[in-house]
Amino acid sequence: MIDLDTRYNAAIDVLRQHGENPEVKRFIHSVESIYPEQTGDFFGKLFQAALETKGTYL
Amino acid sequence: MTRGAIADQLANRLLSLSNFADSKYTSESSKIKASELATQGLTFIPDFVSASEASDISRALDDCLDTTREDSVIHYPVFDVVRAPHVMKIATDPHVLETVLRYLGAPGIIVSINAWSSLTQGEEPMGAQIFHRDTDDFRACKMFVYLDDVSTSDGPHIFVRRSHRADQVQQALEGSGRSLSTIPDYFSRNGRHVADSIDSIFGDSVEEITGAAGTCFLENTYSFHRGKTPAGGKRRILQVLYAHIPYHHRLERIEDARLTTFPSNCDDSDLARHAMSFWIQGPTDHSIETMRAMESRNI
Repeated sequence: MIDLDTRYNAAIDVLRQHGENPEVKRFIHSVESIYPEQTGDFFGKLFQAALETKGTYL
Repeated sequence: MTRGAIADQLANRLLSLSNFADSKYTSESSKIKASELATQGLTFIPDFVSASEASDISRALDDCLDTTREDSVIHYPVFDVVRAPHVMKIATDPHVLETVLRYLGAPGIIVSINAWSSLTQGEEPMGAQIFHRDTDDFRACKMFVYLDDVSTSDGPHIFVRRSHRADQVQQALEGSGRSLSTIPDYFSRNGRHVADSIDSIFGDSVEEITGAAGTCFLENTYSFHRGKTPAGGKRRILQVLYAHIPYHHRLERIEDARLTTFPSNCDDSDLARHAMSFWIQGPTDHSIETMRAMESRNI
């Protein structure tokens, strides 16, 4: 079993490596634009957390 | 680096974290199905759900009191759907879960289970009757089961084969004489803004899926798809979403519908236990609390 915390951290680690990838940006922006009220900007926050570790912001 | 490659990396990370005995799952049939799902975006699972099982589920949904109606769609409460006969057994079927394992690259979790009826109401398509892409995760797939016989007038599911792949979208655009500069349009937002062009661009790849009650297929719904507007009939359908990362609104729905014990009619395997990680009360409470804590920290 993998709990939610571990899943989030795994996703953050992967995203951290690809913060400037255009396809990743486009996908996350797609999610944000479609489901902002449903996801609570989930991927956006995830992505931001990953980027902040590199001192950059999308 | 593509979105798919990132999905691979995430899957590999999750697989290593899970200590999951991946090597003991060796079904060739599941590998073939997963491969078809990856290349075509769609694979059928024949002789899986019987007409009588579909009918049992349908009858149970008939008894639901707390349905919600949205335009021409009746949604059934998740709480009742997961307690309908056969549903969790179907959702955690060993062959299905092994196919999902091979497709996702790590054991999938069930992120949502839904059922709804599409009714005849005018000719104008609305909502999910307009071609669109789902963006549920970096990689995800959905299982659909028809709970009624579905003919072309009953609102069948329509799927555009291979439209999740950039190379195939490029080929379709070239074949229809369109500018390749529009490729990003076909992969941005949810795709509804290009819905009117899908039939003419993708031609024979647009597939209308009709079939008897019990017809079952796995689909990458990042490919373009829609429900056809019913013309006189209706379509009742069951949908199970498999992915790696659940959105928090999905977890809230799971929390409302969670089961107290592992269903006795399900095959009790580690794959099934993994798939139902967030659906059984008790061990998952920590995860829900973690989710809320992350939100409160504005992460």
